[in-house]
Amino acid sequence: MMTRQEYIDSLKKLNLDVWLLGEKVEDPTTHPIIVPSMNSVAMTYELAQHPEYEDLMTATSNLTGQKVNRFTHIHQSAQDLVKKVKMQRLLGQKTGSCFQRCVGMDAANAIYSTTFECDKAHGTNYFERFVEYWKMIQEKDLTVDGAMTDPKGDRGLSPSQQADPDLYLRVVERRPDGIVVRGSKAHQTGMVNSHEVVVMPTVAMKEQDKDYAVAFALPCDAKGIFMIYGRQSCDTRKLEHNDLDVGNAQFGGHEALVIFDDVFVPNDRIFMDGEYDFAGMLVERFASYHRQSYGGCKVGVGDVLIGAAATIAEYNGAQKASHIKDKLIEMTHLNETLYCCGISCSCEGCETASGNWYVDGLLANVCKQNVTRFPYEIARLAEDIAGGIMVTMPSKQDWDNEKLRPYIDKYLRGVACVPTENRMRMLRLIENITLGTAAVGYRTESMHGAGSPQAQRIMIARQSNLEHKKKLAKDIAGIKE
Amino acid sequence: MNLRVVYCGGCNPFYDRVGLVRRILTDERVRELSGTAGPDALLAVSGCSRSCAKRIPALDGEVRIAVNDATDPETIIRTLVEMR
Repeated sequence: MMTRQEYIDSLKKLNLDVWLLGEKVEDPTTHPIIVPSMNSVAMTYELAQHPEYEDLMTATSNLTGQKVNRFTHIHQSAQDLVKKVKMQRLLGQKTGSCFQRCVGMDAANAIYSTTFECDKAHGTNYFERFVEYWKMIQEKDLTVDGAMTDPKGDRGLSPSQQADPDLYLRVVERRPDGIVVRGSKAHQTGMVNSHEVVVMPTVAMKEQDKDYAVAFALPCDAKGIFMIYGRQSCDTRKLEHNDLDVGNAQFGGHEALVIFDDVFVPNDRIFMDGEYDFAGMLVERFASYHRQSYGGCKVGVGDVLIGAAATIAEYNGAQKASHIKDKLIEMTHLNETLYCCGISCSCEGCETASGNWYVDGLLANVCKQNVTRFPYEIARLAEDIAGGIMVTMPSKQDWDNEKLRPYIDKYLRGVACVPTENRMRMLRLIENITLGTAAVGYRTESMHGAGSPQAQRIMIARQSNLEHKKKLAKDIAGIKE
Repeated sequence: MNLRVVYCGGCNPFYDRVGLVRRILTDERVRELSGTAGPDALLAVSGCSRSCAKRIPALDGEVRIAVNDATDPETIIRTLVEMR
């Protein structure tokens, strides 16, 4: 497995085509806006080296028999699914942000089982190809971006009905040695910090959409791939070179709009090409794994936010107020409810035909549906406890001004024993998670990441077993039909 | 050949587990299997994809047949007959 430094060095060797604020980024590993997000991924490598985190951070590969980073593991039991969620909570706690490496793990597990079943139905050999590919990922300990979401254009039209045929990524040419693809994937978490990208279709498809039913893998610096880095609220504070106003100077997350401008994919990296009847299965399995993931990562960030709220309550001298205690209890209750969902859909998982383990679909969707709501309430309560100074406080530049500093120090002090700067730092951390750069991950990504709320409600409806519930009610009511 | 049936706990079944087993056990071809040569069979019937009945251990020599959805009983009956 790679160390933290080996991971960063390996990124430097890539020739990524990254654009940020209208300019090409020469070295993403040193750009001040990007570096915190790289540090978050690097933490997935660093913790795997520590014996005190080894049980969660590593696993034994079913493909090679070797010890691997759990972010590259193909789940072999319900216990593996549970450990995945616990690992994600740990990473959320250590970074206070999105650590980006989950999408590749979820994509791998979804493709593993789907290609197996696709091969059985169609006589293809995608499973064998994928296993060989994934062995390489495990052995080199690479970070993989899982790319699913197409821009989708007119949501009322299927991929093949769009006015612009490229609004869903598609095959534009088939050659004896591979395919050429064109299109885009939006919201790509961690792409700039990844070695490889695994592309999947974004919706269930019909025969007329078969050119869009495509799954494959490429190095992130493959010819024709470029990335446009997504803006985040307060992102340019990172250019001010001050560690106070950013709230979380060490860690962050990122998303990018990724363009595939007629990119060649060799045959050994294609895992679906036209088998439209399996597009829906792949989407559903990836989505369910990723909805499980949110029951871990968001909980870890929630732990940081609850800790920040409890600390600022102390700095404000309000920690003994009953309503403050109750708000912290409510935040904890909501956060642990999300964790319950992540753990339960793991415990209730089942083995697929391919032998890997898959989460309980109903409970994973319930998990994510709660994630679309609870972080917002946790954030609201954190803002309530923090007070309005969180968003009206002077800047670090003011703090560094020798004329202004004594006044800020005097008038922004809370309890006398806590330095004013500590209070400012804690307020900035809460600001960062609730409405700064990390709010991308903690709030709006909680809403739309792994599918928007209605997507979960459709899945919940499909798996609600309403007929069984109606029969239970009729039996108890004494109704015989 | 003996056929043993075990069920999951039945907390949230997505089909009539008992009805499925009844249709299998009352089939003439299955009834004729009793006492014939061939390995014993364990029919592990779960109500959903969680497949809890799969975790119930088979006895020595038993061949496990796992069911977790409203499979056509004919498929299972044919499997049992072919085991003989």
